[in-house]
Amino acid sequence: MRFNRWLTSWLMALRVARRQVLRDKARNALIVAMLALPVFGTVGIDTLLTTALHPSAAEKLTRQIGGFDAEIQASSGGAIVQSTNAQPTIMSAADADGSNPQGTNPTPKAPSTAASLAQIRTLLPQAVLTPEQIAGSASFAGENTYATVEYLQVDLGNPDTRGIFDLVSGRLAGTAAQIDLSPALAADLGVRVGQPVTLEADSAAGRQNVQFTVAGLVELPNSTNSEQAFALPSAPAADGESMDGWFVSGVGPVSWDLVKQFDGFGFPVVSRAVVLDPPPASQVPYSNFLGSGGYGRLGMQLSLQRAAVPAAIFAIVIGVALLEVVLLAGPAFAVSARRREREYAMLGAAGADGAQLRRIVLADGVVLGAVAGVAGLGLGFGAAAAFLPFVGGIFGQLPGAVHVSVPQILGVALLAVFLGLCSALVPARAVARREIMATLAGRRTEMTGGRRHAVRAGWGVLLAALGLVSEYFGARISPSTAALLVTAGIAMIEVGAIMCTSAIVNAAASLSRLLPLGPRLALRDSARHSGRTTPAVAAMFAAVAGAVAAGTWLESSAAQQRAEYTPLLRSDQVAVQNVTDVPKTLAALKSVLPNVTGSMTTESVAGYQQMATDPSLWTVSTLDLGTCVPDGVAKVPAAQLENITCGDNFYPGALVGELIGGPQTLQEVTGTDDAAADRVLDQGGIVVTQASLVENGTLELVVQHDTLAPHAADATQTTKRYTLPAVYLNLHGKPDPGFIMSPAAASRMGLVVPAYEQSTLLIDLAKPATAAQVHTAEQIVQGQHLGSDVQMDPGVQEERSLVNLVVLAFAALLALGAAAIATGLALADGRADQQTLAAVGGSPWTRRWLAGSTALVITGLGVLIGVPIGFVISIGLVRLTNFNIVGLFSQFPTSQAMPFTVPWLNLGAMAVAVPLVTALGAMLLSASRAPGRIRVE
Amino acid sequence: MPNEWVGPVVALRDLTRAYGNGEAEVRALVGINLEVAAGELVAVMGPSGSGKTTLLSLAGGLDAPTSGNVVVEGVHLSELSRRALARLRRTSIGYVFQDYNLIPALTAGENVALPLELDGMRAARARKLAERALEEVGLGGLGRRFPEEMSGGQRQRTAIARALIGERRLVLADEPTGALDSQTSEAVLQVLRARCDAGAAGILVTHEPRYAAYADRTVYLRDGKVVGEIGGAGEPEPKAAQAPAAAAAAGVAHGEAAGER
Repeated sequence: MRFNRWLTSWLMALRVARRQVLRDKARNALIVAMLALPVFGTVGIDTLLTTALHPSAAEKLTRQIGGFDAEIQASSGGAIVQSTNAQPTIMSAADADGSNPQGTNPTPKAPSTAASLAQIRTLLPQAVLTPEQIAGSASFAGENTYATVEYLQVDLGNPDTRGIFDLVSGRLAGTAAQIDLSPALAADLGVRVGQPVTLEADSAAGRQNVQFTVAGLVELPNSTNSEQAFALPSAPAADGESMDGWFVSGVGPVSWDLVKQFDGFGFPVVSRAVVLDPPPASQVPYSNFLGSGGYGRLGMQLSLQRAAVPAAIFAIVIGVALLEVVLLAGPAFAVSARRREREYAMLGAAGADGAQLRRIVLADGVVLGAVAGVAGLGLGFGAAAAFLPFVGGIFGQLPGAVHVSVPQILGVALLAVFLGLCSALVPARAVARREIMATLAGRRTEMTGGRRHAVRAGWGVLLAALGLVSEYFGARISPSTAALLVTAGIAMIEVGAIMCTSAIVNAAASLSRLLPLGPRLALRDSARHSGRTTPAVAAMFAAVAGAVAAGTWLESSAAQQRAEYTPLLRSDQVAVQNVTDVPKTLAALKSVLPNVTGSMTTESVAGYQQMATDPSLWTVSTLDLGTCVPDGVAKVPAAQLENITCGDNFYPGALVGELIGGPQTLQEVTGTDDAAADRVLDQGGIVVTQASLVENGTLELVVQHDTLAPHAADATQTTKRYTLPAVYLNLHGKPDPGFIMSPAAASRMGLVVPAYEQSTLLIDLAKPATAAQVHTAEQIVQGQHLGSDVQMDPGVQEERSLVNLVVLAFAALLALGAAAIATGLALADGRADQQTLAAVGGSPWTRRWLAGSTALVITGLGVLIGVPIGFVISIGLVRLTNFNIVGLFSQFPTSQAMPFTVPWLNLGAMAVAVPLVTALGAMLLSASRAPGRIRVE
Repeated sequence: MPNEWVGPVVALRDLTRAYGNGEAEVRALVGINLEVAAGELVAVMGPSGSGKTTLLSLAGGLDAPTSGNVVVEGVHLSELSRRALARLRRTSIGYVFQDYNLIPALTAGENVALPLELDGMRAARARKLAERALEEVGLGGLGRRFPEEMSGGQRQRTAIARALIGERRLVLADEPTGALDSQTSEAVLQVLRARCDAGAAGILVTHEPRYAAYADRTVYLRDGKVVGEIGGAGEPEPKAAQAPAAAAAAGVAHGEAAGER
């Protein structure tokens, strides 16, 4: 019975609301637009990103193996285990089962092409095999440029290859003298369809360069920005190593059992049948390990912990965005409720109780939310479809078909209904509280100031204080709860501030007596209509607080980045890695780098000496291997050490790859001339750039030497300790190699100093090189096989400044929106007052002045409350980041705490400009003529 | 009250106001001619929808006629810009509305001072003058009260104070007693009459013949046209006595016999 009454009451309320939708079209359209915005954004972005970045399994498979049944990739020689997806995770079976504990087993020998084919034939005797050959680094030359890229040889004419490649222009290579290039490679080489390109060959090995004609431009849907070349199997192959692979057709589905048999031979297999219908996890060996991207359970745990801070920030951003919607739509519902208060009073007079009146207002929220949900979905999908072609290019892969998940869509659409309900909540309560007779008599029943606001503000202050405590101490208790407590604290501060808003508006209104007419009237009017003003000011301050918090955090992060930045090289230097012929390299680069003032080659410690007759692994470390302590241990507070798990980013202080040289090398590499460092290097010692490692002028190093043998039991391991003279050198802001070991020390410890392909050529220039010069130099070096790559120091990348500006602009836009909506509603609500003003002689500008003042009041109060709240939030975020899991687990060692840095200029501009621009906009955009007549007979 | 103008303070000449177009056109006023001299109070009576408020809106420059002219102290309102019209309203014309039309966010004093402040007078001086105006209507000391803290009569007297503040030469009152009890109504009308006696011209829209008796003459409207007039030059006293007959002619329900002022 009670439920029936409740249901009937809701049905009646929904019927009234449905009819009301078309009665006040402008305001309802505004509400629908606001409620639809998050649905539109969520659906649009989600559809866009999901479609662009996450093609379905079938789409991924087609991009990988086209129309073939399977792809068999080159065997590593040893047994493997693999996952079941289109780009399988592969792991050596010996690594997986623990029979290769230190990775010291010799690398198995990959079988020859003929042997591989024979192995494949034993398992798939009837299959049609379409061979592919991939050379990882083939050098191509255009007219004046070079590029070292992947070179893939496959029968491009086979219709089953469709989907792996997309022909962009021209045609597919039909003869051995033709080649297809990816658009990125063609652009880099500066060639077009019909022009020649040259496959560079090693003349020292007696091979000739090969010239191809570009037949067409072909892109890989999975990697549209990559540089690749495609030719027929009959075309000349590239120098160097290449991998074989075979596409399989003609045998139907390749089952999981068959794939596991291929595992035994070491062939990774991508099978259509397996990818589209994967076996249960119980049938996939090491499925837990392979399924987590090869990092096992620990990896997953770390990933989750790393995700906590971004998730917290994401939650704050989403929370503030949804709060904004509710706060912006709330005033519109409040004004609507005010307009209809006589109607509600008559319903009350007819017997409707408070709950029923509340339902009628809430039903408005439900109906408008539903309309917004449908509109947001439609617009979101439409926008996603329209932008897909552009977004695909940005992410470097072609988008798949638009995916629609019905439960997800329904969830998002219901979000609009939920937001509508939330927005209507406060006006609904206000309507239910109004006195019927007072409303019918036209007497004002909305309360101003007084106890209600004070009580609410009291609770607000309490909540904000609790939030502060949670934010402050949350970032100190433990990494696992820090993000949650800080987020909760920020949420409580925001809600607490909202609860205080009406009291603050009232307090401001009570001080308005000395203000000029416009601001005085606007302020008093705002205070009187707290149902309309409070959410508008709250929306404004939430936007400002968000901008201040985000801006401060980004600026602090950029400051940290600048403080931590270690240049790769001196600014007036370029480096050629793995240089093979120094004089020839210098001569070849003369045209590109004309201002060379000097040069030097440097060498580093080699860990694994491939060319030695006795293959062995050298590991030099500052601590015993296996001691799971992160580098930079001295900077980690003892309390936090307990929380450190030995993860994939923790080093036992290994020195492999560090610099070997004397004072001259130190000077050349770092640009530093330090007498103490020079002396230590001359004494056969080591220079370190981390103060904590040096104790009494010495450093103890652990050198572990592993000999490699076919069977683990035959391998030997020796560990020796050496104490070297050491000195700490502060290289903050300069190129920092970590350690500079004297050649004498390297020799004493028996370390291998490689003779080839480990040397770096440093070239000093009269002025810094440009990125274009470096790019051209690299093309020359790679084209002439003089080295691997050419580097320069890129300097601190200040992309955060741009992000900062975008965040501030977005916040400013939100603020303008909040002010515009609130001002528009205030003007609509205050028509009677404007008519009175006109009647008593207000000039046409009076209304504009009033509109400007209203906007100024809302934005001004928003800025006044928002700026401190934003700073409080940003302090929490900075503290969280400094404590945080990100710093501990993925960027360790965090040598510099994030400094609290405020982007004063940007924030100042926003705090001053937004209120002024909003006020000016309101003045210019509001009609100067008072609306309607006072009373029409 | 320094005033060099010697003709009628307000003259409505062949005034027509129509709303809508074609078949939907509604003519609220048709060919109205009316002059009100300084020191004269004219009552306008008529049934609902007869065009009383429209007439007042046109006379005060709040609305523009479809045809005809409104001349205030020799100035054709149609020739004035919106800015000049606004200036005329805040310096020369005072409005009193049936539902007071006080701005709820302003105190009584601030409401009264509103025209002066809008005219650029410093707030402090305007408020002093407003206090004086409130004293004149018997509300001395209530200047800091907000409208919702006042009774209906106090609000209406505040509205009158606002309409009279400064050197208003034309006072337009649209059923100023509609929401008041008879005692308060009498008090309000006495203030209005006194202002006209001091030299202002006034137009009083009312349904009540007894209140119309405060006027020097009464004009009757019906369907937007003048259907009768009582009083005026040469008819100094009997206008109240003749009112019922004329009201009957105009279709107005008889009210209580109006007393003499």
